[in-house]
Order: sequence, then structure tokens, then C-alpha cells
Amino acid sequence: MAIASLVLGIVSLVFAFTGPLSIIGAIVGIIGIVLGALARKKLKEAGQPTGMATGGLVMSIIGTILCLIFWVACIVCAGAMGAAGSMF
Amino acid sequence: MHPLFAKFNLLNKEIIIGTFGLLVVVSFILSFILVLILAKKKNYDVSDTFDNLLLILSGGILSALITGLFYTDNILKINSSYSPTLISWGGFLGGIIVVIILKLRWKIEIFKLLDLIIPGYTLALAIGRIGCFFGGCCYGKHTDSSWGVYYINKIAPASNSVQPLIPVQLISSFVLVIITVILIYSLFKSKIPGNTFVLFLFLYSIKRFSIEFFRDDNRHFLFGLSDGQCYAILLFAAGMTLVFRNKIIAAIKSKV
Repeated sequence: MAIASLVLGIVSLVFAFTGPLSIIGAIVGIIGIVLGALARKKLKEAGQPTGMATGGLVMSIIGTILCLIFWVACIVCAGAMGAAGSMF
Repeated sequence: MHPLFAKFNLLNKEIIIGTFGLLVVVSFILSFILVLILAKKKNYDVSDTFDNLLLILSGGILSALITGLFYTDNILKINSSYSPTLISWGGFLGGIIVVIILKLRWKIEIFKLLDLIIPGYTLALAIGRIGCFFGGCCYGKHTDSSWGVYYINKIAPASNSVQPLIPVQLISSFVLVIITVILIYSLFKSKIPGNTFVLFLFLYSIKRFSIEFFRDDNRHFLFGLSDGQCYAILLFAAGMTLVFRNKIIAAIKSKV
């Protein structure tokens, strides 16, 4: 689970710079965060080191943040925020 | 206002950062930090709170995206130019579902966790509303008063109206900051777990129901009420249920 989180974190970082496809990176990154957080909880329960899970978590968080920034910017660029009337 | 925050070239590719997107990310980070500070002050396990928060936030974002699909005119016609929508009530619902899963799997104290994270949620909404103001969405009705706002940039949805509009996003943000302060005060003063969360349900539902009267953006309506007002009524009802939960449980037990 920790390795999966690390891999997904790296993939989301790559997707951050792909324009409209960064939505895929955001979703991949969020799944990486979930796996990383779950791995950390389970490893802590078992009393094992959480280094790799934390690494995966950090990569996923950075990837997701970049994807979200560029993806929401894409929405603005497309001038399609009118469809997002109920945002927040 | 200023829907575009920055524009630059990276690896021969034009990168544009929208103000709304940037403020959404800033809202997540600041609310995260606030909750971790509150957890430390309350002497909770900060590392465990960090993991729980990430899970709740992830569930919230995914749920906000999924509920956004219901606001799409025709899901079957989604293509590469589809612009996803984040829905606040969907995010809240997803977060609550994750909290319930955490309760079932790790036996966490559900009301203590909800009390802790709810000031972070309102702070995130407050900053997000400033993002709405700059992005030109969730805009208000026409006003002739001196504090009316014009949206000139054609990217902003509010630019469809050539008249000055009530800056309802900033009013909403200001009220949410006040609610955040009240919730933090309640978190440290209240001795009964769940009180801060119930207080949020009442304060936020009243605020949301009232502010909807001043909004003029495109929304869905049900029985003459906007979706935001229906959401507010549900939150208020949930608050009432939690206030009387002990009596309700006792009544159910006595019938069984």
C-alpha cells in the first residue's frame, strides 16, 4: 500500500503539467493520499516504520495540489465556470 | 475581478494559474494547519489527526466531484472539454461518510473529531468564497448602492450582468470567519463532545439559508427553494436531531 501510494504520487506529479488532463492527476493523487494515510495508520498499529508511506503521502499531496491549481485554472481558461454556479 | 492570478511559460508550455484554483488550494492548506494547531492545543495525537484529516479531505474532494456530475446537463455527453464542478454539500457529505468509516474501523470518538475539524471546514469555505469573488462565480443580485461590484473580465460568469452586483461572496466569507472564531471558542469552552458540531449546523444553516436570497447565479430550485436552502434545512434538521438525540434514543429503546 505504501509503494502504491509512492507510485501514484509520482504519476500525479507527471499529470500536473498536462493541461486539461491534470484532472486525472488530481484523482490519482487523491487515491495516493488515501492509500498513504491508510498505510501509515496500519503500520503505526503494527509498530513498523512508516517512512515509505509518509514519502508516498507527501508526493501524492504535492501532486494533487499542483494538479488542482492547474486544473481549476483550466476551467477558468475554458470560460466554463458558469456551469460551476454552485461551487462552494 | 481577477479570475487569472498568473500566466507563465514552463518547458515551452503556457501555464495559467486561476485565482479561484489557487485560493481553493490555499484554503485546504490553511484549514489543515488550523486543525493541526487545534489538535495540538487540545492534546490530541497530532500524527493520527493528520492521517484522519487527509482521509476526510480526500473523501470530501472526491464526493464534491461526484455530486458535481449531477449538475452536469447530460452526463452521457461528457467529453474532453468537460469542466468539472465542486459542490460544497457533496464535499460535506463525503467527509461525514469517511468519519463514519473511521468510527467503524478504528473506533475513533466521532464527535470529538467532528468538533475538531469543523472550524477548519468553515475557514476553508471562507477562503473559498474569496476565490468565488475573484473568479466571478456565486455572485449576488443587482444593487444600486455604492458597494456594488462590476465584473469586466469576460471569463467571469458574473460579467454576463452589466449592472453592479452585491458582493455576496465577501459577505459570506466575512460571516464564515466569524462562525470559525465562535466554533474555536466553543471547542475550548464546551465540555460535551458534539456541541461545537451542533453549533456549526445551526449557525451555518441560518447563514446559508439567508445569504441565498441575495444570490443571483444559476442554481437548481425545488419547491421555490434553491438547492443551498434545501441543504441548509437538512443541516438545521440534523442539528435538531443531535440536540434531542438522547431523548430520541431513549424513546426508541422504551418502545423496543
